[in-house]
Amino acid sequence: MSDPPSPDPHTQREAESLEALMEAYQRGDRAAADTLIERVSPALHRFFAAHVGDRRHADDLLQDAWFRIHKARHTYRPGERLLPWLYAIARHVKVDAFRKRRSERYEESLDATPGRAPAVEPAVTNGVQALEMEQLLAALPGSQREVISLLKISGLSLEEVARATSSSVGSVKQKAHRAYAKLRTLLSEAGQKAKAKRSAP
Amino acid sequence: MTCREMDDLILFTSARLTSALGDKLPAEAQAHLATCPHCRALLGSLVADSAGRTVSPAVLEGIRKPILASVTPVRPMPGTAALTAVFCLLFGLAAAVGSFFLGFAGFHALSPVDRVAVCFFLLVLAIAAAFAIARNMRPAARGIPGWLLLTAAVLAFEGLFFLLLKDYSPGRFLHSGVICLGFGLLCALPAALLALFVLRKGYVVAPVATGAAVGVGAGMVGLTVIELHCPIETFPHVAVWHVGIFVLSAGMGALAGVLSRNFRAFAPRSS
Repeated sequence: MSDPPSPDPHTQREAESLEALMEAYQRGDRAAADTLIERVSPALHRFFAAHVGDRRHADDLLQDAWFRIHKARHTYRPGERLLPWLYAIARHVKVDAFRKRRSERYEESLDATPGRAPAVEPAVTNGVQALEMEQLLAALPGSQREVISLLKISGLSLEEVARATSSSVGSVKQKAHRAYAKLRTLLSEAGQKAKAKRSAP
Repeated sequence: MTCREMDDLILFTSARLTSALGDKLPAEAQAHLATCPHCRALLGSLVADSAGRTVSPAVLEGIRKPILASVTPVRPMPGTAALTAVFCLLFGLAAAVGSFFLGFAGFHALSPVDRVAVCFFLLVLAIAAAFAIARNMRPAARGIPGWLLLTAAVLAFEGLFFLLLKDYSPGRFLHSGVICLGFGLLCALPAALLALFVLRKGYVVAPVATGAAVGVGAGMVGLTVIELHCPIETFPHVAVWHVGIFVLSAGMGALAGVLSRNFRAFAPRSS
């Protein structure tokens, strides 16, 4: 009787924890690095998209974040949670990009090009459910947006968000509560607009 | 159940919330959702987004290719305790070299009790600064904020010198003060450069706080050398010019942090 076929190494990797993959990546395991990139990139991309509201810019930031993660991989301490470490670097990339963009916008404003459209226009064509999370988040102040995207889009716990953002759990909770209150108001306004549109002849 | 309580539930429920609309929600929350369109919409938006999106294969390939080509084994950075010890050692070395050249006239002018008290405070704050720098080398490792470290150091030394020094005469306040400040900063500079050399091995996400911590640590070296050397034991001189060494040093460190942050933000993208 022949031996059962050995499972695909990539499939085997899927079951491993992110921390185990990161440790293997530190040991020079390419397959682990590959799986890690595949597993973490969608969440990181959503984190960036929630802040920049532009998929192409989010693509660039994702790339930049991975290059920095690669360079800083020795600073991950085996045995610790990986996500706060990853998001601390991602957040750093985002802050750098924000600084750069702000300076570019300032230079553009000196050229005084009138009639620029606002960055985000809430789409309410299909009522409340049509509102994309990114559009909703765009209406929040930066710090609240960051907390909500880390908690609810990236899936970090309160403690992990506090570590990734170098703040306290209490401060994270407070920002989240404020953000929820604002999101609820926005959703209710969007719902009313959609209702009015439907009832209009 | 109120909307506020619903917020708490959302906050503490599994972050992805993919199953949050199913049976896993408590009956109270389900009853609230049935009557509150706002909470329903909020939860709906979060669930809809948590379903996830994919990253374009071209983007993933652009990440994979250069990274996988350069994957090599790396040794994880030493722990905070080891790094703290390294910074303490560097600070100690810089202080010893500085004192060797400038002499110990100030140390001999102090009473034995004063010597113990001053050395104890210098040691504790230098360790605190070393710890803060070591923590800042690792992303997501909670450290001591630079402003807190500086405030603690200023309060500790001003309080200590107020208790120890009973002579309030100004003497040649400006002339001798500027000399002490200048020499103190000169001694702090090599300590800061040594600390920066080690700091490069880490990944600093808070450059301003880290710069301030390096400034405080290096300032402690300057203060140590001057305390050991300067025989002027008047309160105005020590409180302004000696303490001023690490205040100024922390400020310069924070400024260097701002410059490094801006340089990194405006540097071309790494690849």
